Amino acid sequence: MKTKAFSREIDAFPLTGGSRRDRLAPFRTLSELFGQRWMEGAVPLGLAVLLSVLVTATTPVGPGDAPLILDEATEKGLLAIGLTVVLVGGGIDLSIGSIVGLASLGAMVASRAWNWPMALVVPAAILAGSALGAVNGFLIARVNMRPFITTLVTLVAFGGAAAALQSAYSFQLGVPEQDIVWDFLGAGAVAGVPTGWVVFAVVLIVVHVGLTRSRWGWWIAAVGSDRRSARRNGIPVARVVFCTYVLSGALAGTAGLLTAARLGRTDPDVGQGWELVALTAVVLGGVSLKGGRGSVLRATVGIVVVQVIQQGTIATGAEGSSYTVILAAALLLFAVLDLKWGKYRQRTAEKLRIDPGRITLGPLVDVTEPGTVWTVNDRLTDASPIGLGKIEGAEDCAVDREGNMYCGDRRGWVWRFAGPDDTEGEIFARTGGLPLGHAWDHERRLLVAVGGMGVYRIHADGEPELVADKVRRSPFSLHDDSGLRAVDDLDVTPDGAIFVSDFSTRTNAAEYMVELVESRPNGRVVRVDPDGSTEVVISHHVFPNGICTAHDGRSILVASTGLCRVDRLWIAGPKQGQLEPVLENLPGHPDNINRSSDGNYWLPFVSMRTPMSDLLTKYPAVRRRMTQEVPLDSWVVPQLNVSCVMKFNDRGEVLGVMWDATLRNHPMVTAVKEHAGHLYLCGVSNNRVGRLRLESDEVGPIDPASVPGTTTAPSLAVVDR
Amino acid sequence: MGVAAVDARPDLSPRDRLARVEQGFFVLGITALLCLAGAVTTDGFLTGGNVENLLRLSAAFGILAVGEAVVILAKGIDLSVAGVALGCAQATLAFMADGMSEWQAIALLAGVALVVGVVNGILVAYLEVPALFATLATGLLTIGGIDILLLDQNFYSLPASSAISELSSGSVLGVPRAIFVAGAVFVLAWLFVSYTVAGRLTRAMGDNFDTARSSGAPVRPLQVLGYVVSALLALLAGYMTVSVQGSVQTTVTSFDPLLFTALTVTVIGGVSLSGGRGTILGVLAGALFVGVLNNLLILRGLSSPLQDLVRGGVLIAAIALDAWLHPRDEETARSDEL
Repeated sequence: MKTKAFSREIDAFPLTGGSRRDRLAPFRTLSELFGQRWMEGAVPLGLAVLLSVLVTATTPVGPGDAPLILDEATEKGLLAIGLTVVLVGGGIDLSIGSIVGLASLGAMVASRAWNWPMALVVPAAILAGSALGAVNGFLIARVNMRPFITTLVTLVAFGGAAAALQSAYSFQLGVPEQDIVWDFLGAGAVAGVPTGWVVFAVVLIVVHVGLTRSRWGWWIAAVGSDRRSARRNGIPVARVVFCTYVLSGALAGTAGLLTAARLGRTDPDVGQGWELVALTAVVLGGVSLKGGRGSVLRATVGIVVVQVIQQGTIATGAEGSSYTVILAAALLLFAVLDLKWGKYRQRTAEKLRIDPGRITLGPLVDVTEPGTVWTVNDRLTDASPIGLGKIEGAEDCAVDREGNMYCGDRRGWVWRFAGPDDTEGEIFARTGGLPLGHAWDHERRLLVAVGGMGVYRIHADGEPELVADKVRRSPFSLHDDSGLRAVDDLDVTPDGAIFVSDFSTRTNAAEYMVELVESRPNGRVVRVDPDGSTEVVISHHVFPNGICTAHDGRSILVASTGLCRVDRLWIAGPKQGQLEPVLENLPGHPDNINRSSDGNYWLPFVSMRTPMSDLLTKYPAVRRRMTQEVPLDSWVVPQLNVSCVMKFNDRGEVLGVMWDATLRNHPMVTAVKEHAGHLYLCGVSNNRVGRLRLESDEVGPIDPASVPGTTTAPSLAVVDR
Repeated sequence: MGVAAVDARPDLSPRDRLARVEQGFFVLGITALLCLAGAVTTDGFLTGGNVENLLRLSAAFGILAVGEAVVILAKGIDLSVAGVALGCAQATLAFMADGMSEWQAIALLAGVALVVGVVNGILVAYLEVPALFATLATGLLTIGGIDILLLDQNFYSLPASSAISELSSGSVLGVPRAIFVAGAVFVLAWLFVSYTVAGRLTRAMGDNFDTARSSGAPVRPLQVLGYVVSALLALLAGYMTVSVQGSVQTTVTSFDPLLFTALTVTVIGGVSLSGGRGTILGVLAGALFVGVLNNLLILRGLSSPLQDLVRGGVLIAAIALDAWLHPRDEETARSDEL
């Protein structure tokens, strides 16, 4: 019998009793949004685009100006790309404006005065740009000069050289020279697209891929982020810095060539002030001035915005200096934005991360009242310790037919205690993570839900094997919920599928306190098929914890620690795919569920509800302030230091409750396993596993360790439903 | 021999020995050599009139460099000085052309310069914007804003009988007034940097910002003070420039030659861009050196692009020397130190 795939996952949100509005966690959504990597550039970029929309709306600039804007944007965009690379590498290049001027003049002089063939002029112009960039690179990377002041000086010096060149050849430059290559560069087109645009697009794609996908690009970002770390990791810092300036120079040379070709003339004023334009553009595009972060794609958007603004000032006939003023204001504004946004984004995201929700619990059962089934007793006090002082935090255990006991340890180990009398034990397997729930599969191999890692199968030689650690990411979710990180308990069904609870898609397994306080439907139950495929069967559940296949193998029981209830999920029969309540409004927060030998179920409580903790569930805002202003040790949470184990049957009747009123030996019990007339008590913060002898009338003929439906033992648990 | 060599001087490399020499003396020596070379090769260099003229022309960028030095000593940089100097001078002339009284106009523009200084200081000290970008932008905003709001001509000339024109004419105690004013600025700045608490803390802050802050120096107000001093001295330098030239052409440029010269003077004078190092004497030496160099270049009849090239080369050499004498420590270097 193969379990039919559920037609759709069950949304358990209605169990919280919340309204539709309670589904939304506005602060957390904001936090997730702020936490996204792309948000870093998106906000400055969004503002920049808004600015350009504003300009087009308020000035006569329209679609008709697009070709001109794009022409200018491609030439200055090449500078912006080069500047972005330099900035990402932690430097700055102001000399690009003069390199453009010098390259365009040089190309003109070479073509018109020296009559070089164009096949030589084109590479020569780009090489000349690279050489000028190499001068910057040498001074900054080798002589260790400061980039800003150095390139400021070379800006003036290269500008002087361009002016000298102009005055030397001013006569010959006036004579136009017809050449097909000049025409192609200036006014030609490739497949209908102007040549300049094509050149720009090619450069953009190459540099973008190089910067984001190649080792070369990562080195640049590494040097720009932290020189010391980069050097200690063996990155040739000086060479990388040198290369960024050479690239910037080469692109400036290309831009100069294109400008000269497009205008058909040139003078030393070409390129003047372009460094400021490019600088403003990249800052508008959200490239960080602090180095290490930036994207040439965003810089391109920045340059288009700047060009739209320029076109706007020209179209409105404003003074030339108003363009400069707008650029300067934008530079200042976006520099501040870059700084403050970068500084406060993560901090805000962190602060808003925990966003408690509202849940509704029924009236509290008073367990201190004498004479009820809940009355506190000392049944658990005398359990004999196993592995005392050796085990640290066994959340769950499993006992095989020979009586060997396996239990987890928060250090990432699985212990093995050979036989009922072994109290020393040995480390059986090292899984890493936080081993939580244990169960046996059909082949009697140990399955462990390892918090932080996923579901593992441990072979007889102690070798762990991954069974499942991810599910399909839910669509339209800002938050990546594909990992099975907070897996807590698991059990196997007759058809070999594993049902596992993942108590939170947000916090990791060690942060269960956060989950307890947040009380949001963050958890889910996942089915792992024998072929390893995974499917979410219950979503939006509040802290689903215990998972147990019912004695008849037709349903599984799911305990919700957050909602203090146990539900039954039918996996076979007419009600397949439905969720129905078994126990509601329990006086504590239930943990792992396990079968008992007499056809019932054991359920320990990780903590008990108190009037105070119940009150707090009604006031999410108070809990939010608590998580923000009070250290975790002082949070008001349910009473965690209890040891309470109850037994219930399939009809949801509480049959008996066992306590350790002294709290001396087992301050917390998170799972109990029954084997051969004994109960094994595990606790996630205990330093032992307890072994308690059960009265003979409490023991039945069923082997709780075997998967229901696989043995022929008579079942007492056939409940008529 | 347990107490051997306690007071022995540590072995220093030649570079470290050189780094300990006051750069002012070094530059003064080079300036003297340059003068000697000029006197030998160039006619009319070593005449009284030329020297006085040279000093008079150097006064403006000398004053500007003093303000720049105060900021750089505190590990900042002020790129807005040229904008403030030229913008405010232009605006003053524009107001005077519109009939406003001279002192009123000067008071008004002094207020503008003060505001720019305070804004620079707040941006750098309180908002922690890198000084380069903050002052680059405010400089452009100042000169551009003045151009848009106040100026309606491309050219303003200075009325003959005004306090500003007297700044560079006449003499005090036999010293030409321009040189006297510049000298006074240098002396006051020297006293400020060397003998006042604020000046010493400024240097301490430039040398090691975190230590200065930890030891209780009011680092933020001190930074603001530095930018205010720089802006006000820039105003004075602007008036000095206008006074010497007698008129002003309105321009809005990002990197004016005036700023460039002020930076050259400061760096050549040994005020290290890494902050905390340098003296006002060094700035004086730098100003003299640049003044002599400019004068020689003009007397030799070099074209202005070539002059730019020579000046650029000199500044590059000075920065390279600074980088060699005071290399940045790769262990503590930060990527965003531009």
